[in-house]
Amino acid sequence: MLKLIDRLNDAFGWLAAAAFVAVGAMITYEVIMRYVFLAPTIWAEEMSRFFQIWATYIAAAYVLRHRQLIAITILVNRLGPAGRRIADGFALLWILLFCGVAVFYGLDIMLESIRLGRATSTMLSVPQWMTEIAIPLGFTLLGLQALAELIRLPKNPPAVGEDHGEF
Amino acid sequence: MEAALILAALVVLLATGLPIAFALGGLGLLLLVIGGFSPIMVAQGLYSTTDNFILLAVPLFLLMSNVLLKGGVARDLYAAVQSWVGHWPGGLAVATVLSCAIFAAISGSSVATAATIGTAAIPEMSQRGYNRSFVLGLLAAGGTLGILIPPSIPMIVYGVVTEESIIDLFLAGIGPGLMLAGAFIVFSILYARFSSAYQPMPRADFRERLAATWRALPTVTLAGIIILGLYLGVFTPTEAAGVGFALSILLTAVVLRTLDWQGFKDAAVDAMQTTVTIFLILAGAKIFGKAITLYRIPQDISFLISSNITEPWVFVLIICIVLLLMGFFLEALSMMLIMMPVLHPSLMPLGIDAIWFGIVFVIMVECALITPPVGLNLFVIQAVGKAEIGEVVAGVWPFIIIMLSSVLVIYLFPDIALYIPFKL
Amino acid sequence: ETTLRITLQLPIKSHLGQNLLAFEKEVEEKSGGDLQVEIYPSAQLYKDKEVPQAVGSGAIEMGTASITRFAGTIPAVDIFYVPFMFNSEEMVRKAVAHDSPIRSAIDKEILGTGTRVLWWQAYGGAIMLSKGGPLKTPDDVKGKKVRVFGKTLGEFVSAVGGSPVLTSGSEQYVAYQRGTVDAGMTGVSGVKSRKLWQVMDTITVTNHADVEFLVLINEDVWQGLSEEQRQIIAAAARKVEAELRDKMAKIEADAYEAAKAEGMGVYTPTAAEIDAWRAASAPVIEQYKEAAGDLGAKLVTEAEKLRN
Ligand code: NA
Ligand code: NA
Repeated sequence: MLKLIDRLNDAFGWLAAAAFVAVGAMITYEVIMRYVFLAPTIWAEEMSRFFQIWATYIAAAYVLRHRQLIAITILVNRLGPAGRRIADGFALLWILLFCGVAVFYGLDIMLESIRLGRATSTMLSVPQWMTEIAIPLGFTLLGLQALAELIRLPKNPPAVGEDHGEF
Repeated sequence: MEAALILAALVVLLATGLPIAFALGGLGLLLLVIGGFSPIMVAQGLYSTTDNFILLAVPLFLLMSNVLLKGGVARDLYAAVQSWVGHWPGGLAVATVLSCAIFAAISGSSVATAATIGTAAIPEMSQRGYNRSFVLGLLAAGGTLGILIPPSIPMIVYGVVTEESIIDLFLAGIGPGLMLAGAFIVFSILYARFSSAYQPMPRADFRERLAATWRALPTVTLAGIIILGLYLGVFTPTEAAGVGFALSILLTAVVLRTLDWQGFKDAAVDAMQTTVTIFLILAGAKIFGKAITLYRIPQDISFLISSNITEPWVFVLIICIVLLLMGFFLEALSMMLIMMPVLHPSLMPLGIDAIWFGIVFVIMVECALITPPVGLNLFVIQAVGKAEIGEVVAGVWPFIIIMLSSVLVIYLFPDIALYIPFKL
Repeated sequence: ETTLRITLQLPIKSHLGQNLLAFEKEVEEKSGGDLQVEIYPSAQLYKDKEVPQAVGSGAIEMGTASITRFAGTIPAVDIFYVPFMFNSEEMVRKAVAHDSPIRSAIDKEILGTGTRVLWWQAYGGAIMLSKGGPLKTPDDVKGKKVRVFGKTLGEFVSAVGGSPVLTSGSEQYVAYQRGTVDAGMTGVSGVKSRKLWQVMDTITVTNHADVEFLVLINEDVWQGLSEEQRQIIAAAARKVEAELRDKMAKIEADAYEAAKAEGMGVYTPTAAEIDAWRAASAPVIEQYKEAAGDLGAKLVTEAEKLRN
């Protein structure tokens, strides 16, 4: 079961990476259309934003699974294994609770948009629930992954954190 | 009082090793609930953070620099620069700074710049007998040019948070970036003059130079296309990033033939991971920001500032001290996201240009990246150079002093930043 | 004591912000402090496009959003962006009058999304900006990239032979400065507040669209107020709406003066030129009717009645 969650979230991670690559293609196409053919598209800007919303949230679980979320671990790393385990458990529980709220209210927003027929006020008029669904979906995946990591916590050695980041 | 309590809660949460994104977002949620505001703001904040075209520049610039990294252009670049300046006193150090500055023009991140150039420069400089701490410190500091010379992810974030023009921020970074690189070079030459530990490099002959430059030329051209394209308005920052990504694939996969399918996949996944971690922090900060705005904390603080500080220099000095202190423990994104919503409303009444202030902020972020105990560039160089953190720290302090001095210079001569975007 | 929080995209010093301040003062005074109004300007809480959802869901009690933000859900609201539909102050005043069938129909549709429209904030007409001479007729736009700020305005630019480029208000200056677009459109007060004379040299006074902002209140919040509170709010809304509407002509006149003083050319098209614009943009009316259905057709009929 836990393996299944891992595999599912790895697949979504790959999908997100592909989505960002696709955005690069769309934007390049848009620049070429505008400068070479004087015919800017009406969809490139909006579609790339939609891909961005989707990609970010469906890949949140992947990033947690590979423990790449940026944290300040300088203090925690000085604790013993028990202390680190407690800190890790606290973090996973905290994330799990946050996911619960995000899923509940994310669904609330999405269902209201379906009920009212909300659509974006752009050239494409895309139904809003199509992007809003990325929030409840993404945080369900993240919640599952946090749960999986919690279940594993007593068995696995507690991770020694690194201060990640890309700045 | 309320503000102090909230800040204390945030510090405690961060200290437990809770991921920054969820420390900010979760605390924001808690504040909303306690204050009787609707938690639906959590979901709204998550959605609206990524529903932003300008932010697309982040994944695209990351894709571009990752493709170049996997395509191994750093080694070519370093070899080319070294063939021209390697024989100078401290020549390899000069080559390192120049390579960092050139790579900075295609990368939006300090960590990527430090890691990329570090992989090529640390072994070379070590072989030639340069003092180890100097080498490590130089790379940690040189890497920070990555966020001052455009493109720059922190500038994109600054522009998104303050609604200032990202192109203007990018252009304003060029002058100070070149100045800082120049100061690093001067320091390196002086250091070499008063040190006998290293062996000078032989002068490369013309043929060697030509061959090395030929291989690095496409990379330099790419950097030129991006900066000129931005300046001339051919494309927006996001589009520059998209075109840069496409060109970097062309360059590494077709022209140089150094990027294979596996390398491309790795580049895409790495860029995705970094993007998502950054965006989750932005989303967390957005929720936290909404909560403290409803508690009227930014409004109260900027009122406090505007009713007590009338001199711009006092404001800038205080903020720089605060940022230096914060920078010991916090990383760039949190500093910017916590501080800017509070500071931005105070800039205009004090007559401080928001673009200029953005540049000062970025230099302070650069300091934060190399000040212990928490400094991402320290960690990266520690890993790349297989060193002790203490060795890196020992070499880094002269560069911190140079950076802080450069803030003073830019305060005295604001045109160093503002000439290119507004007067050229 | 009841608190009404209002989210606003623009800074407090903008005329919409000042209008909300006038509302705050009026309501707090008349209610003796029983009703408290808090304004959150400069998109501190929500961007313009998020406001309909934010107010509709009750996350915030009140907000102000450009009317075109409803266009995705209620396409008929874009009647104000159908080119030259209301191209004079007189026409606009008729269309937005309290008893106007156009305004009533739109308010009613919006109420169906859980938000009540308290009042309409005038923002002025849309003008065209260009470099090196005015845009007298559609021919002057042919083949040009034109900054637009909405779907219907984009269709307008396409209809007259240009290429529409959606550009946000904050990137507008840079887009003109660097030539990302060749021409553009904006409210004339925006020319002044964003110092667009530094990058464009000519205004063509087309007034081809009318920009309206709506001040919204969540319907549940509204129903939860006492009858007396509702009366105070409604009266204040009427008062500040009229004040801003009356002030708008002067705000625009000042903006034109400021633009001229900065060396901008201001060109007013002749009646024949306007007719040429109108003829070239005729397909947009059909597109609008198609998107906006029965309500759209009804609004067009009502608008034509106002003209005669
Ligand atoms: Na850079
Ligand atoms: Na630091």
